[in-house]
Amino acid sequence: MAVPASAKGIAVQPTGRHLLHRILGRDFVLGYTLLIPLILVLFVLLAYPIGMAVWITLQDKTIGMPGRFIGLENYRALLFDDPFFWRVVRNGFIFTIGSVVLKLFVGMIMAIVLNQPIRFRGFFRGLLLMPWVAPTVVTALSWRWILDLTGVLNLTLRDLGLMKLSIPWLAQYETALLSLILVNTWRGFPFFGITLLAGMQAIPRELYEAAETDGATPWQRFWQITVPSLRTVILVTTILSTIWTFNDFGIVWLLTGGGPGNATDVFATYTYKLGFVSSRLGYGQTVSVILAPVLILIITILSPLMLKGEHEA
Amino acid sequence: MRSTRQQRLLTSVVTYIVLAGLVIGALFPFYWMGLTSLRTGKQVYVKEQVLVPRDLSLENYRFVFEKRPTALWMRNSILMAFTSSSIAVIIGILASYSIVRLKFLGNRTVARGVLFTYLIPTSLLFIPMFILMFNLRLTEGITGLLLAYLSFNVPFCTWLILGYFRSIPEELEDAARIDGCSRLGVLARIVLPLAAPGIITAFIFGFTNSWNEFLYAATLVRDRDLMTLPTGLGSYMMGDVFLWGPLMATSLITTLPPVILFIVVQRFVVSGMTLGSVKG
Repeated sequence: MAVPASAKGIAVQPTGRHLLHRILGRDFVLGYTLLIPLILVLFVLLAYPIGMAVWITLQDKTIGMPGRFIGLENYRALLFDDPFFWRVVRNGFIFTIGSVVLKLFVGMIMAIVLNQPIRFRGFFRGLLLMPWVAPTVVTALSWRWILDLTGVLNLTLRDLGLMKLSIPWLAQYETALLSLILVNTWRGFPFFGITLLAGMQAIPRELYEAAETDGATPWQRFWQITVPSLRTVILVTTILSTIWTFNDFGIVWLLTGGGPGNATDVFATYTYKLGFVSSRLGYGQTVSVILAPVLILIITILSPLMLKGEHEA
Repeated sequence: MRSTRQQRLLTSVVTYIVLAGLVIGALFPFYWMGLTSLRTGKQVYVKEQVLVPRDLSLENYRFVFEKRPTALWMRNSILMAFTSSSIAVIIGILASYSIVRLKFLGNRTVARGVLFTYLIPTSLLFIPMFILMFNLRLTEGITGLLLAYLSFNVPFCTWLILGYFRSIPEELEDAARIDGCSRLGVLARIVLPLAAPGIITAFIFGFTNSWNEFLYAATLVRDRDLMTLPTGLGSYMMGDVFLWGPLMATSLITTLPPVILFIVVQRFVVSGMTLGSVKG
């Protein structure tokens, strides 16, 4: 083979494959080939539905019928004429904030306890993980049974003489929303506990020993060493949980069905009711899409934190 | 001032009391579920024997298998969960290797796309997914549901596997490549064995995600015999009277597979939870 042109000091135009390699990178052929299945899934099963999600909010689409373009009419109707939308927004925020705060709190207690020098730590960690592992449907149904009018909670409270009549926990607005928050907390706290525990175990022992020598109380050590060290972990876990809780369907649908009436509906259950019970797909989808800016904002905050490890490895 | 030893003892006592409280709170619903599933008729409503159960029977379990298509639902659930997570893991392995090790334009962008789609909740997509599958005539069988499950399992498993592949030192691969091993040979002989715990974790998470899924299952499958366990359970809830005994029996059956999986591989799974969701 002849001496390469570049070696002779003459600039040459790269041609064909060389040009492609320069623009697309050294391994582009194999690289793109291995990505084909992933890209297919991302486009057909995600990008396309996301596009359609927005498109049908501009139509009066119903089940089995082609939709007609109606511009922003769905948005106008939802924001100004819908009798329940603002209640759904309120419920969504109360449910999400209440649940996430409680999950963080109980999860932190779980992490602190498991971070102590206790026996059978792995075993207890496994036991406390169970609420998170159980299917949502099961969680909702078993709690529905516990909270039932004839359920164990009411019977116990009556036996203890704490009240005369059973409380219909899930059938009146205040206790229903509170029950939803408590059940969702029960299901979600182990996720916080596990991630916070992993974070705590990565904090160097010396930090605590030094603080102890300086006479810092456990309370001070917690706020001045543990919490600052866990900042990223707390942030990422909280944001992830916020996304999931905001969009929860199973717990609410199976415990109260959004009821009584529409009193405890959240975004997902209201979307479902409008879309599948009233068959108004376009209008129902508008409930979810109207929230998309909030969701995208949250994801934008979260992504850099989760991608952080990318450049280090 | 208290002595250190006294303080240690106090800390330890408080720790165990709080731990006991957490464990009881976490496990009581499962205990109550199990107990209810073993009671029939009016016994279900008896509270007196919370701690010392009597008069237990397996009648409810017989009922759910003989009078309800529980076995079919179970088969559908296993089929769905196994197929969707297997496909997702394979797609995830190929894509992750490409993104982590190969140099080409856009691999960062793809990684971002994976994370973004992993974070998109199903509540935003179930209506368009229904329209898509309805138009493709896929709501009569379970293919539509399988595709819907791929839509969350593929980004999820890929994201997890990406993290594991990044943790494998590149030098190990370079050595094999100098010895004349091809890219795909390196993937099969070096990367896969090293990333096995991560791949198993991704599979188990994917399996559990599909096994537990409710919203797509409720919207994409109509036929009762094609339901999965979660929607099958939901179908008990028609009308005002709930058959709590059979309901709790089916609940327990639905809970066992993921719980057993998690117990068997707890160590992997815990590292996966922290690595997959919380990096850095």
